[in-house]
Amino acid sequence: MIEFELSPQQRQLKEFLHWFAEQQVRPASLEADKNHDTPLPLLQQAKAMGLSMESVPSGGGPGGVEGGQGERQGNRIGVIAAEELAWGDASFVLNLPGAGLGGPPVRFMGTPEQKERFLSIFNGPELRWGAYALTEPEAGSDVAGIRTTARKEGDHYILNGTKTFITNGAKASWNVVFATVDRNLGRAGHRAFVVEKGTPGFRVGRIMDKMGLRASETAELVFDNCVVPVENLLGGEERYLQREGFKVAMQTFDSSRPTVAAMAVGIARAAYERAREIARQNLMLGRPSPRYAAIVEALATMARKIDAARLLVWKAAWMADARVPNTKEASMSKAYAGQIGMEVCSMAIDVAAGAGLLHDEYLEKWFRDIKVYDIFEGTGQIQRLVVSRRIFDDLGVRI
Amino acid sequence: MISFALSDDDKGLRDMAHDFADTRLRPAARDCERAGAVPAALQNEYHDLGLDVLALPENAGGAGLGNVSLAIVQEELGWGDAGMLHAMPGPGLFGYLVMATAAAETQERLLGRYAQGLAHAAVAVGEPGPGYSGELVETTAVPDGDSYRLHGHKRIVLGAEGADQYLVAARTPQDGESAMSLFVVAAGTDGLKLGARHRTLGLEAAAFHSLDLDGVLIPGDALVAGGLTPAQLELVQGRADLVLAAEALGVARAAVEYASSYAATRKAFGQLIAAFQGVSFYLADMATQLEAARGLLWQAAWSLDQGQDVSYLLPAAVLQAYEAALFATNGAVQLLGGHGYVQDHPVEKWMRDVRALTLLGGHRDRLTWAAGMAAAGLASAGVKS
Ligand SMILES: Cc1cc2nc3c(=O)[nH]c(=O)nc-3n(C[C@H](O)[C@H](O)[C@H](O)COP(=O)(O)OP(=O)(O)OC[C@H]3O[C@@H](n4cnc5c(N)ncnc54)[C@H](O)[C@@H]3O)c2cc1C
Repeated sequence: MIEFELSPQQRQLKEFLHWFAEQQVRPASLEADKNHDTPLPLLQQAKAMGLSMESVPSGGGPGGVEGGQGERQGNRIGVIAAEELAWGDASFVLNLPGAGLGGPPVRFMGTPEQKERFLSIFNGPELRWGAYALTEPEAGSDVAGIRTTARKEGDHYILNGTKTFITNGAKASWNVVFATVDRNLGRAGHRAFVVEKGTPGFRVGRIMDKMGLRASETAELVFDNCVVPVENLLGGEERYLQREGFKVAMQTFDSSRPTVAAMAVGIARAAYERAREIARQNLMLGRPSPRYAAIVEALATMARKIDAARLLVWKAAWMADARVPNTKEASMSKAYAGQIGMEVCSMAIDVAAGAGLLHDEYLEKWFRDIKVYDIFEGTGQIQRLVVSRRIFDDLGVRI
Repeated sequence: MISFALSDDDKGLRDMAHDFADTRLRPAARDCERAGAVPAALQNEYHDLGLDVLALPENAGGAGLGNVSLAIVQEELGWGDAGMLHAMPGPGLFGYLVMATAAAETQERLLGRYAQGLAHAAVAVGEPGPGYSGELVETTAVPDGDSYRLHGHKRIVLGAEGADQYLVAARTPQDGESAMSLFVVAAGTDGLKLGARHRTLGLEAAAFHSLDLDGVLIPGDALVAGGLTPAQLELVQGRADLVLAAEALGVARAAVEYASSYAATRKAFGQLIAAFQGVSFYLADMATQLEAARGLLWQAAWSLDQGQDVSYLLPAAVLQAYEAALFATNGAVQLLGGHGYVQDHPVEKWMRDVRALTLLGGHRDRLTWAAGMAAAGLASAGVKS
C-alpha cells in the first residue's frame, strides 16, 4: 500500500542521526572545512556508534540493514541516514570510516576469500577506509575509455596509469582500481583490482584543492609499474570470461545514486531551513521588506523542490529494496536532486542576502558543497543520458 | 514504512479508469473538443461505472474513496482527456467544496442525487476584474427576512449550462470586506441568467459560461459556509486542487509518452531525433519532473487521508504538479516541432488543456503564498497574510 510513514526503526534512526548531526557534526563542519578533514575524535565517535560508509551511503548493499517482518529496507534506511547526516555536513559522510564506494564492487564481485581479506579489516577499532578509483584525467564520464593498463606477468599484474578525483584515495587501506588488459576489447578488457596501500609502484600524486567538500580528501593516484598479485584481481580470472565485471561495477550505481541524491537533499534542506530562519526573524521583527512576497515565494519553491527530490530518492530506494530494476529512477533522483540542490542553495543565499556571504553562517559552504552533487557519481548530463536511454529502450530503440 | 506499492484495490481502480480513458475518452477527444460536448452515451457509461461519485461519502451514495486512490484514478482519466472529464456528469468541483464545508446531512441532501442519475453541478466563485482568485468577490447576499437575495455577475462558470445547482460565492453584511460566504442555488431560480458561452484556451469539450445573479431569492438554509477568508477558501478548495493536479499529471504523462514515441521514429539529419541530446535530455527532464511531482502529490494525498495538517504540503504538491505538467506538455509540442503545433497530433491540445486546468482551482499566487507562509511558519507566528 502507498504509504509515507517511516517505520519505527526508520524514525528512531532518523531522530537519532538528526540529533547527532545537529549536536556534533554541523558544529564541527566549519573547522573541518578549513582544516581539510573531519576531526578524528568525531570519526572515532561515529565508528563507536556503528556508523560507517557501509551502513550509510551504500545502505542498499547486501550488507544493508534488514527490516522487521523480513522486508528489506536497507536502501530506505540508507537514504534516510544519508540525508540527515549530510544535513550536518556532507564531507563528514564521505569521511566515515569503512569500505566506502569500494565496498560494493568487493561485495558483488569478490570471491569469498577476497571479501574476507578486504572487508574484515574494517571490523577492528582502527579507523580505516576503502576507495573506488575509476576516473582518470582523460576518462571521466566516458568510463569505458579508461587507459590505465594491466599487464599480466607470472603471478602478478603490472598496472600503469593515473587515477584522479579519488575520494579517500590517499588514506585508503586499499583502492578498487579499474584498468584495461586490452583497450581494443572495450569494456570486456576491463579488470578491477584491489590495490593495497604500500604496494610497490603505487603512490599518491597529490591531494586536490576544491571549491567545496573541502574536508573530504580527493586524491590523484599514480601507478608506475605497480605490482599487484593475481589474488587481488576481484572475482578471479574466470569471472571476466563471462564479460560480467564491468556491468556489475555499474550496477552499484543503482543503490549509490539515490544515496548521493539523498545527501544533496540533506544539504539543500539545511540551506533552506537556515534561510527560512533568517527570513522569519526579519519578518517577525517587522522589518519592512519590499521583498516580502518574493521571499515567501522563494521559500515555497525551495521547500517543494526539496520534498519532490526526496520522493524521487525514496522511490528509487524503495524499488531497490523490493529488488525491482531501478536504474531509471536512481538516475532521475540523482539528476533532479543535483539540479534543485544547486538552485535551492543559491536561492537560500538570495533570501539571506548579506548573511549568505559569511563563512560562519554556513550558507556559503553549502553553496560550495552542493555543486559537486551534479557532477560526481555521474554528471547531471550522464543521468539524463541514462534516463532517456531507458525511455527509448522501452520503445525498442537504442540510442 | 515508505512504500510506493499500489494496493490491489487501487490497481483495480486504476485499470478500470485507464481502460475507460483508453477506449472511450482518448478516441473521442478531438470530436468532443470540436463539438464542445460529450455524447450522452459516453456520459451514461461514465456514470454507470460510478466514476462521477467516487469521491462522495457513502451516505451520499458515493464510494468514499481516499485521496491517494482519487489521485491515481484522476491521473488515468486525465491521461484520457481532461476536457471530456470536465463535461462529465456528477458533482465535480462542487462536490469537493461541499464536502469540505457542509455538515453530513447537508452533504447527503446536496450530493445524494448524483449517485442516482445523470446530473451536473457547477461552482460560481470567480468574478471579473483582476485577481479572479476569490479575493474580489463583489456579489452580495442581502438578508431578506429568513432568506437572502443575491446580486452579482460570475464571469467564468464551468458546466453552468445543464447544472442543477450552483455553489455561489457572495458577501453577506457579516462577512465584511475580506470574507465571503458560499450558497447553494438551485437551477431555474428566478433571476439566475446564463450568459453567452465562452470560447476558451482549452478543455473545450466542457462549457464555460458567464452567470448573472439578478436579485436571486434563496432560502436561509442555502448558506453552506460563511465568513470564509480567501485563505480559508484555499483550504476548502484543497481537495479539488489535488484532483485537478492529478489530472494535469495524467495529461502530461500522455504528452511525454507521445513525444517519446515520436522521437523514436522521426528522423532528421540522417538519424532519429531521439539520438540528439537536445531532444533526449529534454524528455528525461520531462519524465523526471512528472515522477517527482507525482511522488509529492501522493504524499500530500496520503497526509490528507491521515488527517494531517497539509497547509504547506497540499498547495506545494499542487504547484509542483502544475509546474511539471506545464513543462512537459510544452516540451511535447516542442519536440514534435511544427507537427506539434498543428492538430494532426494531440500534443497542442494537451498543452492548452493543462494550461486551462491550472486555472480551475486555487491559483498559482495563492497556492504559493499558502505554501510559503505555512512552510516558514509565518502564519502561525502572527505575520499577517
Ligand atoms: C569531489 C569529487 C569526488 C570524486 N570522487 C570520485 C571517486 O571516489 N572515484 C572515482 O572514480 N571518481 C570520482 N570523481 C570523479 C567524477 O565521477 C567525475 O568527475 C565525473 O564522472 C565527471 O567526469 P569528468 O570530470 O572527467 O568530466 P567529463 O567526463 O570530461 O565531462 C565534462 C562535461 O561533458 C559532459 N559530458 C560528458 N560526456 C557526455 C555525454 N555523453 N553526453 C552529454 N554530456 C557529456 C559532462 O556532463 C560534463 O559536463 C570525483 C569527482 C569529484 C569532483
